[in-house]
Amino acid sequence: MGFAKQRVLVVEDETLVRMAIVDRLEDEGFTVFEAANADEAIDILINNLDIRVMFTDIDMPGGMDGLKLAAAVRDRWPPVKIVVTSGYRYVRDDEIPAESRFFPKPYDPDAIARVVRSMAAAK
Amino acid sequence: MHVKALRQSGLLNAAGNQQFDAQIKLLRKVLGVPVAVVSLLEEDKQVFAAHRGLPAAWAERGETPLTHSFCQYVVKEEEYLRVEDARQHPVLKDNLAIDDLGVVAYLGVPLRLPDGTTVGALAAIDSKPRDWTDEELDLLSSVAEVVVDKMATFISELSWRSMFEQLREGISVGRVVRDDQGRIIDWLYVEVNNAWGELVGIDPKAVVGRTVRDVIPGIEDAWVNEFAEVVETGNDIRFTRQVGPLNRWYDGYCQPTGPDTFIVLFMEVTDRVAAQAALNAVQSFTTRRQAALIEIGDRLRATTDPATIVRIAAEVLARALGASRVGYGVVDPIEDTIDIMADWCAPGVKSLAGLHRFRDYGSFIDDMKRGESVIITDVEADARTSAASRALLDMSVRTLVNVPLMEDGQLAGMMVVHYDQLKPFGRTEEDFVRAVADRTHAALDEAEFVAAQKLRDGEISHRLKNSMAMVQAIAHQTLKGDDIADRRSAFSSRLAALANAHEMLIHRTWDGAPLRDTIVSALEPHGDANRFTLDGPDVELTAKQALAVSLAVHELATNAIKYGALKASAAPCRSVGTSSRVTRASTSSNGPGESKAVLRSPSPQAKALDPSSSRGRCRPISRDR
Repeated sequence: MGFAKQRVLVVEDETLVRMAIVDRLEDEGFTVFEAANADEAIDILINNLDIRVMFTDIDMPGGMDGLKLAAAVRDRWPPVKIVVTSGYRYVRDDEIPAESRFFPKPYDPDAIARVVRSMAAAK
Repeated sequence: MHVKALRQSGLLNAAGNQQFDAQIKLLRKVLGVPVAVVSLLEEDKQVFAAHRGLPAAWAERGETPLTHSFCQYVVKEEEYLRVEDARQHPVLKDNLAIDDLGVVAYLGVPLRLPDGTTVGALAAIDSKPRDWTDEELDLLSSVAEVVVDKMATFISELSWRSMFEQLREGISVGRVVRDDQGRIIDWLYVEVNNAWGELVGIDPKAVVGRTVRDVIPGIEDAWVNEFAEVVETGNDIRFTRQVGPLNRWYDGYCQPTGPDTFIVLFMEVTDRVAAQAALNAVQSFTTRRQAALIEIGDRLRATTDPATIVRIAAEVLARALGASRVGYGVVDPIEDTIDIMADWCAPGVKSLAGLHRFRDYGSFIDDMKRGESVIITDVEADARTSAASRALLDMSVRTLVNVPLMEDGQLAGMMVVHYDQLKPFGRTEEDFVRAVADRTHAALDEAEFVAAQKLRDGEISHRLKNSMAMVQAIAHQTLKGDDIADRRSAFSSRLAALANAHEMLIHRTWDGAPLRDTIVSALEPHGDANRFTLDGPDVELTAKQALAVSLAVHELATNAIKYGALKASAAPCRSVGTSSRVTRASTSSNGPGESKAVLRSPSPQAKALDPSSSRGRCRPISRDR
């Protein structure tokens, strides 16, 4: 490949589930950062300004869930594209930032990989 | 009998002389006798209902003993008696009347009333012998008929009079009072009976000659107008009406008796009217109560929101009771507090929704705890609340009703009914409040059940989806490479480990599990428990963490069996340890694919650590095969 690996962030508190999607995205050629909750995610975003896409679960322990995280990221890091998932609920379009995507759990890892790739490629 | 009645009337004594005086005078003149008497006979004497010409001493007494009576023979024989000279008469010659009254000649006829009783005699008396002619006897008899007529009339009047006085019904005779234009504006009491006094509560002697507006100030105009109409139209009427100033009800009849007069016959019916009013009130309350309960049932069916349920019940109850505030609260019997979930308030009355301490408003909570309703008709007067009445009045509470709802002998909820004015509150109302409280409580229970059910359904669906996601992750992690048989068996055993962890968690109602139990459970399928040593303090894991640890331990154990310490069947394996700060589960093996894992508990202490270190070391669990 003639370009540096694109960077993406996966936020998911379920270790095994996180590992699976991280592997899938690494196989896709991304450099993948992992966070188990919103606080960790924000730390990573602060230190890695070139992250293009964040894939986050909604239901996570701690004060900030995935929806709040998505809103915060849209405010502080507008270029970061966002993909949201949840096993607990369907999310309406107006609950997530514009241009974000929602996938209910269980999701198809290939579909996630495709969306992340197209988001990362978009300018 | 008749004589007694005649005498008792007093009319014979006082006016009696007047009554028969004309007849006596006539007799004296026509017969030319000095003495004439109307004598009425009693058991031991004769009484003169009228007399003229008697010696002064006897005239004054108006009566004589029977020793002086000729008339007694007339009465006994019911026949006339004609005596020319008493001194020569075989029976009468010793009668004291001859000397004392100067009776010599006597002509007497019986006085026989229409019913046949002879009550006395009419007699003409002369002081010298006299030969009475038949004409004179006829004349005397004629005059006697007039006297008897007058007596009969009088007795009949007397019996009417006595009826008038003995009736239990009230009677008043009235005459209307007209203004300059001739309009009737009032009426006078001409006569009233004793019963009138009792039924009206005013001394009957004090009202004759006064007008009704004067006797009963403030009396309703209808009491004048209606009787005026009787007088004007000549038609009688019946009435049932209250005299407001007396607070009494009367049922009666009025009929005209002359151009401007009328008579009223009436009974007091205050008790009957009150009983009927009470019955009507109960019936109308029963109707309203049934309607209210139906309405509550209908409207509560449509909602599962607790505050809405309470608001509906409160509103319907308040309307049915005319209360100024109704609320429902949940009681904390330990803290003596009530949390009023919602309430309905009349305009101008403020809501009391929220937490309240019972002790701030008096001492009635103890009654409530025994399951007794508290009904305080006046918070100022009642000993339980008088000290706190200022606070209650500030909240527009004058009458306070709290109906408790018991659950398993414990005070659970309470229906609160307030009135900003004094309000009598009875058993019927209390039962009604209790019925609504029961329904409200049942509806709240139902709503809570539905909400819990919904939550449970959502939770189950959530877990299922997460489990699916996990299975999917396992599949993607496992089903790589070429050796399908090997992968298939790895996949199956991982799913078994996941199922195993689920099983363990379900026994703990999915609340999480201690690290030690989680590891023991995960190692169980992998052989003799004696071959593992666990040490370090125990740590409580969440359900998610326990699942992850289970799968990780499964991986380690699988690796150890394949390549490490567990491959050789005998040697014990020292492998799992925990430290107080960081939970660490590690498995070492001597084989070629040595694996090592550190699991971090995402507890607050663990946060301080660099997340990348946990990530980096965790991942080999599944990667090192």
